[in-house]
Amino acid sequence: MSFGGRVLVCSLLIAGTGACGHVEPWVKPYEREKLADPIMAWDRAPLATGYSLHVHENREAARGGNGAAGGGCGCN
Amino acid sequence: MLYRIALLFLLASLLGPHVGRAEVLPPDEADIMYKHYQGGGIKAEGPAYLVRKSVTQNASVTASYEVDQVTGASIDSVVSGASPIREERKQKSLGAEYLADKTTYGATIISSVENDYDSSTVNGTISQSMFGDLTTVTLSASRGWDIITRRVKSSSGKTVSDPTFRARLDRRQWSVGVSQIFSRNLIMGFDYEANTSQGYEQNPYRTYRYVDPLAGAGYSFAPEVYPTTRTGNAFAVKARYYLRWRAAVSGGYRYYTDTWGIRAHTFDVGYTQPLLHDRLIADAGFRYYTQRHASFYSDLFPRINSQNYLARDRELSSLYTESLHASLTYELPKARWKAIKRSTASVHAEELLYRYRDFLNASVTGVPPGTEPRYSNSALNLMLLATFYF
Repeated sequence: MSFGGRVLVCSLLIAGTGACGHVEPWVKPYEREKLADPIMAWDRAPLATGYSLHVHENREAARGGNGAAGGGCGCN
Repeated sequence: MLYRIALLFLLASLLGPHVGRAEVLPPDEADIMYKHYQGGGIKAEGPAYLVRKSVTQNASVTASYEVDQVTGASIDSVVSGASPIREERKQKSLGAEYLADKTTYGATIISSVENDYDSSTVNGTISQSMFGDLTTVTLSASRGWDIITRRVKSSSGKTVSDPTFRARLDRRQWSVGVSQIFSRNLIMGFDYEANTSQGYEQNPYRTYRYVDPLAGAGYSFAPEVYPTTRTGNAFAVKARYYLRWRAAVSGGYRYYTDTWGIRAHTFDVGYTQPLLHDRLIADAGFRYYTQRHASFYSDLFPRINSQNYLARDRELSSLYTESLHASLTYELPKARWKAIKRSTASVHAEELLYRYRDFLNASVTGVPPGTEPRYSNSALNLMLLATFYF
């Protein structure tokens, strides 16, 4: 798929989800205490994680898929 | 490329005006790290620094700098009789993040310089929080330009850049990630990435091995030949679950496939436990990686130029990696300097075992070519990190 096609698909996906309007969150903000705990962070030491990824990718053929999947739990 | 990144930014700006509670940018911090990797005859070590500082309530900048000093002789150098490696890599990056309500825009420039490999990368990212902040969608696009040169011995015996060799490699990467809260205890992440590169894909020093009855050892070496394009796709899923006591378990899986015939699976599990009244956080985990070799890889080709593309890079062989990783993060006592709100010191260690299924240890002599034992090596990756939040 071309780059334009990928952007279009992503745009439609996000636009589609955004068009759903006000979805009632099934986990309320006041119920996210555990998710906000630092031990639930995807990555607590990005500098160390980045170097570990560099070590893996230098010796293995697979690349990617480790990207920042969102900005955490949104429970700041 | 720029108009495509602009298109992504435009897209996010259209999605931006969701009303609700605002997100926040990561805290201001300064990181100092020392890293040390040793294994397979190679040692790589050096410092790394990172500073993130907010410039307004909604914008922050990040700068990082790291050095890798690489020395030693890998199995490739031993077999080919090449000189031991002694090189230095310096990487600099500069990034900015801007927060507009529930949308975070990010841009990063990265430069990596070695004496025979220069690499530049630009990256744009948009992250959008939605559904009452239960879902975060991140789009990312990168473009990279690499320049490859070759070091050779001059007539005076000095090592200089080969004036007859200069090659380019262009890289592109697109990804979409979703971070989703499923329950009070469970968060999951889903990632898809497509990456493609075009140009000089191989290592100018590496050779392939072929059967040569006229050679004393029964084989000879010739320069590798790679395709000039490579396109890969990676799909990943990960999860973190908060246990009944204050601890977390995590798991992840990634599938990778590309046009060179590589198929790879990565599994990772981990456990996180606070200790010492939460002053210490301990992490431990296990990672397993396995891949199928590239379609044009062979440890020993039947003759010279026996096919269009020829590679003997062990990174492209059938292999698996097992690694145990652990880290300890200690919350340091409150600093006297009031500007520092809190600080942590941590040690991260990973013991890796690389086992190659069809890359043979050609340094073993006295046996017929192709019957040498399979090569394997272990390695230790150690990092010491101090982080100051201000």
